Amino acid sequence: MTRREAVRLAAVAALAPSALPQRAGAITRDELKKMEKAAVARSVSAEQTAMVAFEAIANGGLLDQRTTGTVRVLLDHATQHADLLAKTLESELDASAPLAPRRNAIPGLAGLRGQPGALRLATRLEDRAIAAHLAAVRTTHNSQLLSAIAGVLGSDGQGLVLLRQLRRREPVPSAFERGRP
Amino acid sequence: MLAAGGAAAALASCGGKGNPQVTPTVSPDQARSDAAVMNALLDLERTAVLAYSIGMRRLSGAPRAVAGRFLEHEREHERAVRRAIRGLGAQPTPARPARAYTSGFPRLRTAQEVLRFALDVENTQVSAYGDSLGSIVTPALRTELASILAVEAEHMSVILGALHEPQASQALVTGNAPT
Repeated sequence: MTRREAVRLAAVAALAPSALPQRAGAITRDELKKMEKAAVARSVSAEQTAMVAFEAIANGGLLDQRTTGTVRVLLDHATQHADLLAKTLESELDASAPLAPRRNAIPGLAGLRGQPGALRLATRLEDRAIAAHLAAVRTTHNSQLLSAIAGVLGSDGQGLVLLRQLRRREPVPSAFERGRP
Repeated sequence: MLAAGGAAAALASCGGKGNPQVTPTVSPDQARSDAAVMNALLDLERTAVLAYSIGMRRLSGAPRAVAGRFLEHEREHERAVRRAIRGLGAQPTPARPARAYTSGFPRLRTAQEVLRFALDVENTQVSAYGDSLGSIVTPALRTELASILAVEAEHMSVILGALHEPQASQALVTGNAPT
């Protein structure tokens, strides 16, 4: 057994089965479900917004070749995130995913003039997506959704590292990634 | 209304702007279950602190500075997990002797070996934090763990860069990729 397997087994051994909270103060189960759907829909929407903006930025002629390549990677990831979260929202919560926004509905996108501004906007959208995912994690206890969001969160964190490095910023400035709503 | 054992409260608070946040009641049994999960994560954080502390001795220059920052992050995570366990009305499991953690460490003779090992440790943490989310009942704790998960994934990205490998090759970072 490798060290990594041993560490994982130790962690898994401590995981006791748990159930959904049985009472929720004055909030009814239906209301909780509505909030859960809304929170996950905001996660989907944040990824869709990033996807639309990254596509516009990558094709806008604003970036150098290396940066264009990085933004295309982020575009590919955002597309996969939006698709996965939308499908999981539908299958687990029986809710329709929101429609992706049009380019002109994304504040700041139309007015971009150069690479620094484009990277600032991309960073802001990744930050917003992370904040939306953390809010969804707080609201849902659905294991399929949590698993999907966890994978997306890690990927968005890595996207932030790439963007911060391109902007010559500290790649991991804090011990906790909270995003920015 | 507070659940027994000092566990999370049942509150229905509003975040404003039509975005209310609800923290459902957590029973004493559920709080104990959460504490058990958190204690397993605490042990992982202790492993990470030791891994960076030992690994740093083999590094110099920029990689050493990065490892020093990540070591501080892992210490902050360890403190946060300990606080969370106490917040659940439980006690953090005492740390085992250092050799109990380090006996399974590989030999770290070169900077490359240190970085590979650090990547392995971070990968394990991402996986464990991801697994834990489905088991934790206390909503605020899930958020805290998810924010740590994101940072461990960020650490991975920086380490991959230091190893001259793609820094964000996966659209889903689950901690299950081979390192």
